[in-house]
Amino acid sequence: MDFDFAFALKIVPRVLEGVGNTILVAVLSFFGATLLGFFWEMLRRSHKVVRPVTQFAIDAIRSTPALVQIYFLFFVLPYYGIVLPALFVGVFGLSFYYSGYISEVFKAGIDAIPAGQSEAALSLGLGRFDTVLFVVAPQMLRNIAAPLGSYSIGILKSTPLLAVIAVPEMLGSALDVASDTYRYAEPMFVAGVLFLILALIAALLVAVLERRLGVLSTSH
Amino acid sequence: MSFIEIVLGILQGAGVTAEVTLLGLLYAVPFALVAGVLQHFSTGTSRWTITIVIEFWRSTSVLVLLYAFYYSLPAFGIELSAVSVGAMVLGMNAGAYASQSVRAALQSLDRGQCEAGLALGLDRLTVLRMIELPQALRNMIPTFVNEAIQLIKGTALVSLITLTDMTFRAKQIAQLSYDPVGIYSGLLLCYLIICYPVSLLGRYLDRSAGKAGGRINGF
Amino acid sequence: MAFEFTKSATVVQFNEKANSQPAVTIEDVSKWFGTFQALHNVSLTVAAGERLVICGPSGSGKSTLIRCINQLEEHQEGRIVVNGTELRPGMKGLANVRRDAGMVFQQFNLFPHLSVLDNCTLALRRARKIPRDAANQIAMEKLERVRIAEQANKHPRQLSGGQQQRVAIARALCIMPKIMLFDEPTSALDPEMVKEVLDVMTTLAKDGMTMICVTHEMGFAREVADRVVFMDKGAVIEEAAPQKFFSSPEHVRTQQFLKQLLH
Repeated sequence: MDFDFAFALKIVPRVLEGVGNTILVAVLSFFGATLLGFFWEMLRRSHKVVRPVTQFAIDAIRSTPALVQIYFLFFVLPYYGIVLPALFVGVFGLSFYYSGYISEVFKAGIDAIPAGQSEAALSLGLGRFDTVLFVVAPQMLRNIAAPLGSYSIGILKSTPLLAVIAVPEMLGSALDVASDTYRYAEPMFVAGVLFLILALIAALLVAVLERRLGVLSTSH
Repeated sequence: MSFIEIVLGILQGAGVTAEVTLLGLLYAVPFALVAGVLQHFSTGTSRWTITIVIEFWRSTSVLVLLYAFYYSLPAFGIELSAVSVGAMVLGMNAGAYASQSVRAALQSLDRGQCEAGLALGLDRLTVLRMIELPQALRNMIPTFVNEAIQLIKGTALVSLITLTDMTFRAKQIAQLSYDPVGIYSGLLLCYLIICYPVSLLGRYLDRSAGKAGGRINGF
Repeated sequence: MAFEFTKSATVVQFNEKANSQPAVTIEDVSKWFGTFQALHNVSLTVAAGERLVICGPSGSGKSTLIRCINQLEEHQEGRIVVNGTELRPGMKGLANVRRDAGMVFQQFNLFPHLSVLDNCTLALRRARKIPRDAANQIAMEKLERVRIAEQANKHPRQLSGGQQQRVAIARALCIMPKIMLFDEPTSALDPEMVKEVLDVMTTLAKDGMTMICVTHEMGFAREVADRVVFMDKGAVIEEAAPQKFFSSPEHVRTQQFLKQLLH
C-alpha cells in the first residue's frame, strides 16, 4: 500500500473536527488536575497520620499508567450504576492521573519558600489561614508557574488516550476516518502532524504566558 | 475467576511489558546522553538540528506517534514489528525528556572544573568523560529513574498496537468474564507492584540529590 | 557616657516594675529533637523592662529557647509563661499570645513579594483588622523609629542587609509587642552593617522595651544588658550582671567561651 498524499490532505478537515474536543478536554483536565493536586498537597500537609496515607496514594497514582486508570474508571463506574458521558470519564481520568504529579509541583513550590517566611508570619501573630493566603501562596505561585505550564502541555499530549473510550477528540476522528476508508497510514500520519503542530502552538503560548509572569514577578 | 487467577492471567503479559521496557531503555539511555551532550556543546546549525530532533520526540503525543509509526511507516516502505515500533517510540520519547536533564546537569557544573581539567593538559573529550559527566551523573539520575517509570507505564500503550502485554491480557480476560472491578484493579495492582518500588527509589534519589532539601513550612 | 545614662535609667525602670508580674517565666523547660535533647530543664525569669542577653556556643540551645518563647518550637516539658499566659503546644489563641512578643530573625525573613510598608502593615491589617490608612500611619511611625522611613515603598531585595534587618525590627514593633525577641540579629550581616542594627536595638532598650537577645555582640551586652545568660549544651550555665559576667565569670566553660570570643 502506497502513501497517498492527496488523500491525506483531503482528510485533514475531517480529522480537525476533533480539535475542539481535544482542547476542551485538555483545559478541563488541567483545571481538574490542578484543583485535585492542590487538594492532595493540603491533605499531605494536614496531619501526621494522614501524611503517609496521602503520600502512598500520590505514589500509587504516579505508579500506574494513565491508560489503565482511564479503563478502570470507564469500565468500573458503570458496574456500580454510575453512567457518565465518556468525555467526563476521560476528563476525570486525566485529572486524576496528573493530580499526582501536580501535587508534587505544589509540594516543591511550597518547600522552596524558606521556613523563615511562615515563621515570621506566625511570629507576627497571623493565623494559619492568613499565613498561607498572604505569605506562602503568593510566593508559591511564582514557583509553580513554570512546572504547571509544562504539565498543561503534558495533559494536552495525553488527550489522545481518550480515543480508547470513544471520546471524539482528534485521534478519535482520525480513527473514524480510518475505519470508514480502511486506510490507516494517512489518517494516523495526519493525526501525528496535527498533534505536533497543536503541541508546538501550546508550548509557544505557555512560553509567552511564562514570560509575562516572569516580567510581572521581576518588576517589583 | 478469582482475583488471584486474574492477576496471574495478567502477569502472563509481564514478559512483553518487560521486553518493550528493556528495549526502550536501549533507545532511551544512549539517546539521552548523546543528545544532551551534543546540545550542550554544539552551536549554530548543529545545535538547531539536535534541538529539532529532541523536540520532535518530546512534542508529540506518544500514542499518536505510536499509531503514526505503526500504521504509516509501512506505506513508506519501512516495515517494523510492533515491538520495535513500541520500544523505539517510547524509548526515544523518554530519552528526549532525559536528555534535557543531561544538558541541565552539564550546564550547572562549575566552569572551573573544565578549566582545571584543560589546565592539566587533558583534551576536551577526556575532560567531559572523566570530570564533567561523572559529576553531572549524580544530578541526572533522579530524572532517569523517573523517565524509566514513564517508560514502564507507557508500555501499556503497546496493547493498542496488538502486543499482548499486561494491559492487553487484561482486556482479553475482560472479554471472557464480566468482572471489571476485579480485572482492572488487578491490572492497576500489577503496574503498582512493578512501578512503586521504582517510584520510591526515585524519591529517595531525588532527596539525596538535595532537591527536596530544606525545612518544611509548618502551617 | 551616654550608656551610663542608659543603664541608670534602666535600673529605675526595673525597680518600678519589679512588683508587677514577670514578662517571661521559664520553668524546667526541656525539649527534644527526636532523640537529641536541645534543652535541659532550663529555668529563667525575665522581668518587665529587663534586657537579657543570651550567649553561648553554636548548638547550645539559645536559639531554640528564644523560639520556644514564641512557640515557633514546642517544648515538651516544663512551663513557659508569657505576660501571664502559659504557652502550651497546640493551644488556642496562640496567634494572640504571639502578638505580645515581636521576633527578629537572623535571616530577617522579610516577605519578598511585599513592599517594606506592606511587610509592616500585614499583621496590623489581617490580625488586628486595622484599616489600611491607620495601619500605614503606625508602620511609618515605626519605620521612622528605625530611621528607614524613606525606603517604605521599596521591596526588601532592594535594601542592604542592615536596612532589611531594621525593617524587620520595625515590622515586629508594629504589632505593639510587650517583649522583643532577637535571634542573632546581626550574625548574617556584613561587619559594616552591624552597627546600624545595634544602634536601633540600643535605642529600643533606652526606651524601656523588654528585650531578650541571643547575640554574640559582647559590646552590646556589656552596655545594654541588665543580665547576661550563658548557655551550653542546652542548659543555663551561668547568669550574672554584665560587669560581673565579663570581669569574673564563675564557670570554666564561660571563661573558655569568653576567651575564644575575645581572640
